[in-house]
Amino acid sequence: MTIAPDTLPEIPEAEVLREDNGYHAFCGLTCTGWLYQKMKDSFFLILGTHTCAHLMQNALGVMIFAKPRFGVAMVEEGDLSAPQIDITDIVKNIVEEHNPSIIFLLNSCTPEIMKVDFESMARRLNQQFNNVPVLPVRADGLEYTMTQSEDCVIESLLQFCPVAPAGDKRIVFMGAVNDVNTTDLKREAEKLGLPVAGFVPANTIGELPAIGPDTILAPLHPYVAKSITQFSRLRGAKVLQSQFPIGPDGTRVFFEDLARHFGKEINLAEREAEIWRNLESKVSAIRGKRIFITGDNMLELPIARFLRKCGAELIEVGTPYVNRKFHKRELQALNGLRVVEMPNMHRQIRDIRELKPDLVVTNFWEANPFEAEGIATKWSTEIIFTPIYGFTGASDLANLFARALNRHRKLDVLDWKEFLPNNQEN
Amino acid sequence: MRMSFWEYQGTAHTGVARVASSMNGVHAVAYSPVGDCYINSMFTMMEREKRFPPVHTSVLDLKTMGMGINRLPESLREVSHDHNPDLIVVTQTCSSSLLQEDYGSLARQANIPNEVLIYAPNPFRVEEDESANGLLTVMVEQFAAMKLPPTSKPSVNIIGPISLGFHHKHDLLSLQRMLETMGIAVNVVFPLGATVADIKKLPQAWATIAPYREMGADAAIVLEKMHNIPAVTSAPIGVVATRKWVREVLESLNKFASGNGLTFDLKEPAIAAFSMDQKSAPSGLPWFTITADVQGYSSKKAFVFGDFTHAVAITRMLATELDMQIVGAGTYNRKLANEFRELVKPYTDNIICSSEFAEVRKAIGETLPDIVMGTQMERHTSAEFDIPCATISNPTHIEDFSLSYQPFLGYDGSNFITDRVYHTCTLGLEKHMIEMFGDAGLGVEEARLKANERGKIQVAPEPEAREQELEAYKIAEELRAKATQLAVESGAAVAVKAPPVAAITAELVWTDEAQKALKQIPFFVRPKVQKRVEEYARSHGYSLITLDLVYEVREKAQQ
Repeated sequence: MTIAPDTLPEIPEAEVLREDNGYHAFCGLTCTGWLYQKMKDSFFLILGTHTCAHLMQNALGVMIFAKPRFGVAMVEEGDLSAPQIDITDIVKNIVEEHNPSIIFLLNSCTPEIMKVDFESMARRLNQQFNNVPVLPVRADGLEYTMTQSEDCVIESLLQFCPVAPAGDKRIVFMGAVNDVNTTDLKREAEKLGLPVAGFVPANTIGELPAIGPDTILAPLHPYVAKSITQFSRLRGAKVLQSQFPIGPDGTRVFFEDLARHFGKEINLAEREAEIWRNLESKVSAIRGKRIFITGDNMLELPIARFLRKCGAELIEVGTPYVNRKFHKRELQALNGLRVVEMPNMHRQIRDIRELKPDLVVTNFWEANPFEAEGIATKWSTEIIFTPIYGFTGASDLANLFARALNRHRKLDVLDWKEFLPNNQEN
Repeated sequence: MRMSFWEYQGTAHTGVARVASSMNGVHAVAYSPVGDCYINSMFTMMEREKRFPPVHTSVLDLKTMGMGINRLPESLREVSHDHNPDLIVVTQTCSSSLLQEDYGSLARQANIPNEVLIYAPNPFRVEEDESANGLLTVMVEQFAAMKLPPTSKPSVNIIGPISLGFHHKHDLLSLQRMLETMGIAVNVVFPLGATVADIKKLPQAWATIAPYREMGADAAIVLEKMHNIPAVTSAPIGVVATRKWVREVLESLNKFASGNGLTFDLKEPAIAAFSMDQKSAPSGLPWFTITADVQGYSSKKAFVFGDFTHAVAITRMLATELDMQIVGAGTYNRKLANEFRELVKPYTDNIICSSEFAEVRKAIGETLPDIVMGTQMERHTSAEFDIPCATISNPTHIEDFSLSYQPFLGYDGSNFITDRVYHTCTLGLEKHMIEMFGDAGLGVEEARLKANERGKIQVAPEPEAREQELEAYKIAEELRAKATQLAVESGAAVAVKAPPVAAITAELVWTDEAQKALKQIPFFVRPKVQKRVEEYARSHGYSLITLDLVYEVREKAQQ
């Protein structure tokens, strides 16, 4: 990875404890839930089992339309002993029915254990359907948690990014964020006189930006480490090493660092302060609160950094995976906090019961049971589906936590404690 | 190999998890990749389960596989230490089943005091219902083998109500209400709320009620074989079936009593005794069906699809009690296909036993019924064909786990189902009026709502609409000002909040860029955002709405 010339000061970082991976999280397949919507000319084909199909329809509450742009090529019992898994007909159908510009072929646990040769399967399909690229993407739960597979999807997109000539010095933002955020980030950069080439992923394959030796790759969130390293290695592009543009603090650092790549020293202190002023009513709900993040979606580091800036006390920041180099700036901002990689969920539950935080940021299946024990929660998955990026996204971000905390504050006046589970018999 | 967009059921381990999650002191441990734990969110989200689901994932990942380590013993020790359950059920999922692990020996390695049951059906063959149903049977065989003397007073077991079951908690309440009327005690409910000790008590009942063919009926039959306890496996759905069921239950109990030298002769209570007020008919359905507007139902065509129990019973009820024509009936419990065909044959020739939703969709498209009674998936399909649809079976949405009492079983159930049918169908009389005189503009409104529901993009208001909005805004401003003035004059304690002084100038103009940004906002909040931006623009004296202005409003976060 080429790191920008800006010399990074040696700042102490949070120590990362590593546990035993006994955490609960969705697998990599779930990234399909947002990526198929982001990339409007794509089709996501999962090579999986009945379990994968059931996961897809349940986990994210994905709406089923008449013709969803994702599906599961289902490995059935007969396929287990077949000499070769053949999905030609399925792909043929997809091409005829949906006419996608691109097909992502996602692996899953079962074919992984069966040792299906995925790459050559994709190669064969590419020869048969030479007008629609079929890209193999690793998304199996043996190795990848929900957001990590976005990295694998993005990695496969490089071949569709034109090569930018030397001297074309523009920014390419990396990471799937929604259009409200992309418009905003581009606008913000251009206002600062920083030229933007585009976003990876883009809404369609044709809109992917050119990437070359003078491109500045700017990661938007913590789960694009692999693809950004690849892009930089293969095209010689520079990688911005900064905080992620999440929260007014992170956004400010992000743009100031980005400007340095263009030889500009800008000071966004006033802009940041203005945003904090706008957020005050929400921040005041967060200030002084004790927050525990169990960790499942990899956004935990920047989220914790933002909450800390709001004046919250972070009891623990769990996260599935830490890349010390790629997450360096966030780890510096978390210095002194307890960061746990691959946390053990059962240990966390024990700790949370003992420590009684004011708020637990956690997954779908722990949220309601904690609430039943009288502990306020916020769904971690909701963070992924909220446009939290940049200066204008900060209000949505603060809202997520302020709302959960305020809700509990307001319950006290209703005098209905006896109705709640922790005061009930069963 | 087949293409799947959607499935009616989960896989085997979902069934195991549902049994464990229903019970107390039972924990499931699934040896699987971490992602397969997604099923836990169904308990806590769909059913708003208060407990942490007693389902532990013993994580299989690339690292442990590569090192040849199996975490199962460690997981069992962890569960034993944290929860100390009476029973741990070990199961597997699709991917872990390929590794052919010897769970028995792994469980022995854990060296824990808790009882461990290995229940790992082939996930490529056995689906959710069959797996749960099979586990209930295994548990009965294993824990209810010891003979016990019968209870002194007539009592029954209820087998079938299960976590994430379709309206099961309400069904249970309905059964309990009827049994109480009949003077019958409930011995054990299994699996919902049961412990292993409760399973051991099953043999002391006089009869077993198992209303769901695909969930628990087999366990009831096994119990009958083991201990001669009669099994009542019919589903009391609809008035006729409920009355028959009442008699069947009483007969079974009397038979048991005479066979065991117990002097008891239970009589059928008066019909009114089953009602909420003990005075009226317990079901309004018989009278409802002969009232004027419902007579039109006899020409209505219905299509029914769901699990075995609900599909059979609703087909029968619609055909016989509501006098509808059944243009198709089907179930996704394919292994019960022959039995299903036998039971619905009297009502329709068009029978579909399939777990492929596309096949069901095709059948609905070909028959174009007036009403569909199906699963969540048929709701989507029906919306596509613009046919009213009510859910009568899993899989379902969160809203079918209602707070209010909505049973399917018993007399109470017949009322609820009838209401559901009635609310779903186009109303009888109103429909005639519409056919006669047109829709009086109702259709327009309905079409607009429907379009929104289906996620079609809502067009931004046209200029004239915007003018109207501006007009309305002006009027509202004037009214507020007046109200404030009145409040001040009358010295009212509560002063009306003064409105922002809006600089109402000419019409607002959106730049192309700003319009594009507006279109990026999800359709269901778009009108709200538009209104907020326009109000902001007016109150700040802007007549041109630019992209920057849109984001300025977002930043100010005036929620």
